[in-house]
Amino acid sequence: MKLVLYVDMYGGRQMVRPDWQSMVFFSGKPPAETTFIVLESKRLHGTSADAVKRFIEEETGRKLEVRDVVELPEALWRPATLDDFIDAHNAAMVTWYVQEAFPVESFAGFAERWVPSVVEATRRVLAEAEPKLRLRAYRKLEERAERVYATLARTSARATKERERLAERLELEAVDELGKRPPELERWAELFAELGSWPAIYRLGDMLATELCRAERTDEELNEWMERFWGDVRMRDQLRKAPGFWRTFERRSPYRANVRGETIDITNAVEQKAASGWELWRGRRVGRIVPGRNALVIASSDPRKTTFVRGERRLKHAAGRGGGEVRRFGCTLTVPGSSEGSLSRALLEVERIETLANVAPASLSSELAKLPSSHLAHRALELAPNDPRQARILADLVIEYSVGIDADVARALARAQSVGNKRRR
Amino acid sequence: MIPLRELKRRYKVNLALGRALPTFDMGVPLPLSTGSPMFDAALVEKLSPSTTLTESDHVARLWHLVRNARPDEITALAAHSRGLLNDAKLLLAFRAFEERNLELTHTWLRSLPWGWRLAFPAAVVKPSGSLFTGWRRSLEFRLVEPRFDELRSVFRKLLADAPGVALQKYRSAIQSSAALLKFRFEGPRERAIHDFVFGKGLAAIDEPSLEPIGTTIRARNALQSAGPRPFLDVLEASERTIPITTYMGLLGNAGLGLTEPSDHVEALRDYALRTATVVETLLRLVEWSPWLEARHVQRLAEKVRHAVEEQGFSLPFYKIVRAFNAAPLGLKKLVHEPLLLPLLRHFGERSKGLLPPPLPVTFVLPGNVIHLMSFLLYAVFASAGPARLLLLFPGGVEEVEPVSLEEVVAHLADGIEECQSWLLRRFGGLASLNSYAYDMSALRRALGGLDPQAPLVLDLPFSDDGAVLEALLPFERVFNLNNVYGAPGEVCVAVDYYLQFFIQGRGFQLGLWERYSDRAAERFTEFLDRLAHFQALAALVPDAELGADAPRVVVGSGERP
Repeated sequence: MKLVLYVDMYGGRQMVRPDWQSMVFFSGKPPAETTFIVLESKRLHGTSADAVKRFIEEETGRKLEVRDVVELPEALWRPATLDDFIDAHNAAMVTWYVQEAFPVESFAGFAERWVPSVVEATRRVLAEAEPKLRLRAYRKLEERAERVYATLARTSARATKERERLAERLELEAVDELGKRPPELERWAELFAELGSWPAIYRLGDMLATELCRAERTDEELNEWMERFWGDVRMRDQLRKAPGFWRTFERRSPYRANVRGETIDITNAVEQKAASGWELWRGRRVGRIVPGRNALVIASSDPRKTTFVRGERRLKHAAGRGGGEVRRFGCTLTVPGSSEGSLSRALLEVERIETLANVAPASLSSELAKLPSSHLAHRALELAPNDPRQARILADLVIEYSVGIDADVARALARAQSVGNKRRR
Repeated sequence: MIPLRELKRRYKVNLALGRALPTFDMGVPLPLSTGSPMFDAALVEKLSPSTTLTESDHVARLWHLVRNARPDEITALAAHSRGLLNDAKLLLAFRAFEERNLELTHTWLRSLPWGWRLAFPAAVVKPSGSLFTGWRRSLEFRLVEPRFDELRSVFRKLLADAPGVALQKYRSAIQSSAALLKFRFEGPRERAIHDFVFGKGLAAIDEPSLEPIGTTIRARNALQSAGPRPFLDVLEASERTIPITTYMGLLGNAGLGLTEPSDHVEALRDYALRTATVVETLLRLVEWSPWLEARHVQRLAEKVRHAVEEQGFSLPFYKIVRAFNAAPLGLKKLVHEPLLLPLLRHFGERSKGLLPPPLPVTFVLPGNVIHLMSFLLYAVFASAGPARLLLLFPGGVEEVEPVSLEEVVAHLADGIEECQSWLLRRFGGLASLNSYAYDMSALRRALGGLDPQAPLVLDLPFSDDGAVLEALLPFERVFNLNNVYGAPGEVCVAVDYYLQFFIQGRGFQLGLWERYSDRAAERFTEFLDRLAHFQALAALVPDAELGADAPRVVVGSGERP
């Protein structure tokens, strides 16, 4: 039996997990971290941690209890090479870690040594005329091809890893170099647009925002720079990847109102938590919008037309109470028309009815005027002040009668439209 | 004492009769019932939206129960007011006021926090402002008739009793109540309050009974007119400290901070430490970590000793431990022994009192992962009384020797590597097992060896087995920090599962879940506290209300429903 095992760390000690169920540590000099070792012996029977534990017990002559830390003596293992993956019994279980341990040179050497054997095995299949012998040749080809290509398939992952490490080092050096010189936003932005590694993007993103938001920089300057960043598509996309930029940027309170004197229909606006970013920066803002707080959002595919209204769903109710409109932040916010044909408008009505049914049922009597006196709703209205279950029935009946939506569905919809307004006690 | 299984039985009966809320509509989701819907609502129902009920549904339901409560029920509730939810106490105060029972009104008000007390007159005149949020606050309705003269006298008494800190903290509540009552402030103290609430507060400066309001106003004026040094002089000269929130607000308005270097930053930090309570300091560990040093911690340790030994206080266990965990490693090492350890030990002492004998309390945890909060909870209980710890593995159940709270807390300040290293030293090979394949038969045998009257705490996520249910059947007090197995004496305390990934086809499902036990420890002690009230109130419910045909369960009788 031959096992290849990936060396990881726990508690500052090197260890392997033969079947990922338990750990085996090392006695004597341990192997290096993030390498593979080979465990090979005729007395090793199985790929599990228990099998390895029994093997160690046999080799050391010492019985291991459940509270003993299992340790592999130095003499029982050797460092692995990629070639060991050709015949190790558990190779398929650990190939996903190969790129952590071996450089691209090892993969190239492995390919030179073992790909020809796959070609050779294929030729043997093709050359074999006798069907039963051909079947056996196919099996050998499958096995060899699986071993070779499963290992080689990790070449790209290793190449990516090495490329990213190199790129990260070079880009962080470049960012640090810029940081040592007097700030030049122009050059910083040029470099930022080119960056590919996340640590460099985060670091320069933070530097850019800090420099941009310096107190001595005027709002006009700030706006001008942001417009330039938006105009450069690479820069625009790069900034989307840098949350640190927006966190620093919002400290300058940049999301002031930019819409005044307009009439805005908020019927279909949805309450959302405003988030700092291009959408809020480029959008139409009614009142100053504070990231992290609720705003009513009227979405649009054009970011210039997405409208953010400072406030919550209660604005819709305020407009409803004010005859369909309310003045806020220099604009007129409207909730026009009746509930017919407008779900959002209908849901406001649902909230009003179900609340009044519970706390002031008598105020719903006018809603029942058109119903015959034998209607169940009249009985519910009469009983509601003394029985909360009747209040619920009254609400259901009035909602379904006047709004035309199933009351339970309507309640759930109304709640889904309101993320705020939770009473915390 | 009414056992847990009887409380569960009463809940099932009441749920079937429509007299109890389903757990998803409770503010405190517990499948228990005293037998009386009024008692239950006062213990678990909050006036906030739940899965199927809106806040107005809850108002209607709870108010209906309060209005129809019998006098003996009201008397029983008044005797247990500490364990009741504030929403219920407010509505009970409404009823007492409606019945012109001002003595009982004040009894209920005294059991509420000051913010609620001072807002009471406003709540009577305009309930929507207190009971609702959002657009509903503008609704006009009343639950009781506001007799304004009586309300004014209630408010006058509240103002007379309120300490300066409460008046300072709940200024807006006083504003609302005074405005709605058209309250006339009389006498020098009330006029000083009026000036503080509606004006610049200059009249409150020399009113000693309103301290620390006077100190705050003098300090604010000094900061505005002369800067940080005179501001600090005023604060340091006063015997009373101002609340930390007020202090930080004043600093923020003046553009000052405790982190950035400035001429007076050391003195500003010293005052912050003087005025913040221990819990407030722990909750600010991350924010203050850039400047907290050993000498600061030394001063705080003295405060902890004072708070624990002389004052006694309740501890938000989860918040404290979470704030501690979020602090930088260096600071954790600095504060774990002088601050965290005494607080947790105190928490253990208090919690122990909630678990009556027989003991020990046995914790059963998985051996392959360490759930920090559950493990810490075990250590906290073990520090205060007899406790056992059973760890479950693929190869069986291991009872580990007691781990002291001191030892656990010391390693809370470790980095990952140090902590793993300690676990390896402490538990040997047990710490190196990762398998989720538990030996449930061994668990059943282990449970069979425990005293079924003694409390049992289970925290075994991702494990389900009929054999365990069978073993749990005789137990009277099983607190499961996960989904229940279904034993009559078992109750689920907290479940927090997060679905990370899920696919489902015609014949298969594959899901990836994460489970957190973070809140379980805190909820567990809250639950124990609540359980004691459930049991006390359940004992007062007449048999006639319990569904007389159903057999009652009595501890030790062996009789089961």
